[in-house]
Order: sequence, then structure tokens, then C-alpha cells
Amino acid sequence: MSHLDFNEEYVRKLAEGDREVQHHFTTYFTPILRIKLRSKLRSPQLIEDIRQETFMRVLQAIRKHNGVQSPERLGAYVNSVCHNVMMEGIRSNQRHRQMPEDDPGIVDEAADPTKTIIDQERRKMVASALAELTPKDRTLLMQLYFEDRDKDEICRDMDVNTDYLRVLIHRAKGRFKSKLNRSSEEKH
Amino acid sequence: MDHEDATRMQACTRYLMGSLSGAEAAAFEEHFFTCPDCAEELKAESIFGEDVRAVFHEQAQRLLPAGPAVLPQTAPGWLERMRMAFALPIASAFAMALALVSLGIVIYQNAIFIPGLRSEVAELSAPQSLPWVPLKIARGDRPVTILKARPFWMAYFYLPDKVKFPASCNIESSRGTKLKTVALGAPALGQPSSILLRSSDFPAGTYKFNIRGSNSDEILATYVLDLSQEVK
Repeated sequence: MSHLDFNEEYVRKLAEGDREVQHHFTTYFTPILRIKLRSKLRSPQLIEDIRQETFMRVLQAIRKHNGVQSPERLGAYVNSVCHNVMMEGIRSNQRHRQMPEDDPGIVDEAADPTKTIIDQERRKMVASALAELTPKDRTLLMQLYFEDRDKDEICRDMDVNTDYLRVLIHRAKGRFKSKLNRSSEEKH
Repeated sequence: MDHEDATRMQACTRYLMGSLSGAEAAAFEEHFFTCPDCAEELKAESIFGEDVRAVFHEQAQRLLPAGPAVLPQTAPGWLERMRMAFALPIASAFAMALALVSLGIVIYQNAIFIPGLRSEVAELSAPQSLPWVPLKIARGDRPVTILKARPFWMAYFYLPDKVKFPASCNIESSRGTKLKTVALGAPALGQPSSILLRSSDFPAGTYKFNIRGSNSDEILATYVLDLSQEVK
């Protein structure tokens, strides 16, 4: 996704409901909001609720106040709103209110069928690259990503400290990425 | 935190690993929401993790038999995981062999065993005459002949007065091998005692029917039967 500068024009178009800018806004912030929320919450439903509530509040604030004071700080503002919504969500542990009926709505990039196809293709390459890894590297990745094991536990099992684990993961990822790149080049 | 700080401390990897302190994580969040480069790197690393997770998940689904998944209560150890890597294909092969054996049993049951049982039940349900064989304490030389085609035959005998009921009848082969024990109740007044026997259990030969009382091992009467079977 190409990066657009967060400036006055961007924020103004967002406030006016420009479809292209709104699509960019949700597509850009959805992944990093999910990453942030996943690092703190376990419930996928709560994460999605908080993400949508964050978008709604940001858009409402922009429309109500005709923009934000510092457009270049839009990202920090989204992060701040997300943090507040998350704290409210944790406190109340209830569902968040729905979007108003007159709201133009937010385009969900997950509904894009092209993205699904791209994901599938990428995962085929991932599977191929994983098959070429050494059993040790594969086991390491399995522990870390599939089993979601505690890092301290992995360190105890492998008799290494956390810094060394990070090096091991870095190497495993490096090997993985090189195989992934080679696989991708062979394909094209 | 600026971009240089984030790069130097490998903030993306450490953030996704959960290795940053609370303050460091908060500072990095504030940074990557405003830094397109860090946001992209974070997304790439996150997608990397999701893809690996998805591939492992798909592979695990293919290896496990259908049915509700049961997750281990505790994470397996290193050796256990290595064992699993080899055990799963062996388990799959074993499951396949088991499925083939089960299929063979089902085919045998449906093609041979169940039709045979049905035929036998139909034969037994049909009205038929029953051969009656009298047992006597002193027999002549001529053996008693029963038809092999008849599934059952009836042995009947009059017990001496000294036998008190309930009594039992032990049937032995000529070599003294105990074949069957039958409990005997008191017959109707003036009627003999009788035992229904399966023809296939009694090939041609000599059999002893020893009668014992309920409270004693003493043999109160012995009947000897020379049996032959005739195929017709």
C-alpha cells in the first residue's frame, strides 16, 4: 500500500467522507491497531469492537471539530483514541455501541477477494519454505508462532537466555525470508 | 522514541515477542503509529508470524484424524515434539491399516457371517421334527444314529428314585473329557428328564452322561451312548 502523507488535505477529505481517503485510512490503521490490541487483549471480538469504535470516534471527532489540530500527528491521535477505548472496554467488558445509521460506513479491507487470493499464494510459498528448514529451526518457529509458548519456557527447554533466543529467532527468520525470496523468484 | 532508537533496539521483533517493558512498549506504539517505516516493518513481521502459524495449523489439521480437536493440557517438551514429528506419520499409517482391517471385517460380516446367521435363524424358526434318543443304563451294541442335517436332538432318560432334584448331568467324551454340564429340574410326574443338544457339538463317538445329586459329587447314574451321524 502506498503511503499518503497525513496533512491538512488528507484530514479534510477524511472528514468529508472521501471514499478513497477513508479506504486508505482504514487499510493503513487496521493492521497496526490489531497488532497493538493483540499484544494486550485475547478476545478477537473485543479487538474488532475496539478497532471499529476507534475508527468511529476518530471520524466523528474530525467531522465535529473540522479536523485535528496537528494533521501530521493523526497516527498518534488514533493511537491515543484506541488506548482510551481499550481502557473503557476493559473496564466495562461490555459490547460497544453500534455505528449511527447516518454514518457513511467504513470499508473493510478483509472483504477484498484479491487479498484472500494473495494471502493463499503467499502461504503456499511459506509452506514450501518451511519444508526446507532444518528440523531445529522448524521446531523453533512452531514453538514460537504455533504453540504460543512462553518465551521463558522456550529458553529453559533450549537452555539459552532470552537474548540468545532473539538471535536464534532472527536467524530462523533470516533463513526463512531468504528461502521465501528464492521461492518467489523461482515462481516468477 | 525515534526511528533510530526503534531500529537499534530491534523494537519490532521485541514488541511482537512481548519483550519490551510497559514503558518501552507504550513509547514504541506512539512511534509506530506515526512512523510509516516502522509500521510497515511491524506489519511484515506480523504477517510473517500469521503465515507461519496458519501453515503449521493447516499441516496439523491434515495430520490429525477427523473429530473434535483435543489440545494438550501442557505444552510438550523438545523431545516430545521431535517424537511427534515422527509419530504422526506412523500413527497415520497405523490408522490406515486399522481402517483396512475394519473394512475387511465389515465386508466379511456383511457377505458371509450375517447371511449365514440369517439362514440359520430361518432354519431354526421353521417347524421341524426333533429326533428323540433314549438313554439307558445298559445299552446294546447298536449305536444310535442321528441325522447330521438336524440341528438338534433330544436325549431323554428316566432317573432312578434315589436321585433328588435339583440334580446335574455331566456329559463326557469316551476319554473322560468334560464336555457340558446341564442342570436338571424335576420332570412332570411320570415323564422322563430330557436334554436338548446341538448336533454339531456331538460328532460320532461314545459319550457318558453322569448324573449327580445337588449336594454330593457321588455319581448316582451313568448312561452311555454310542452315537453315529448320518448325512442325508
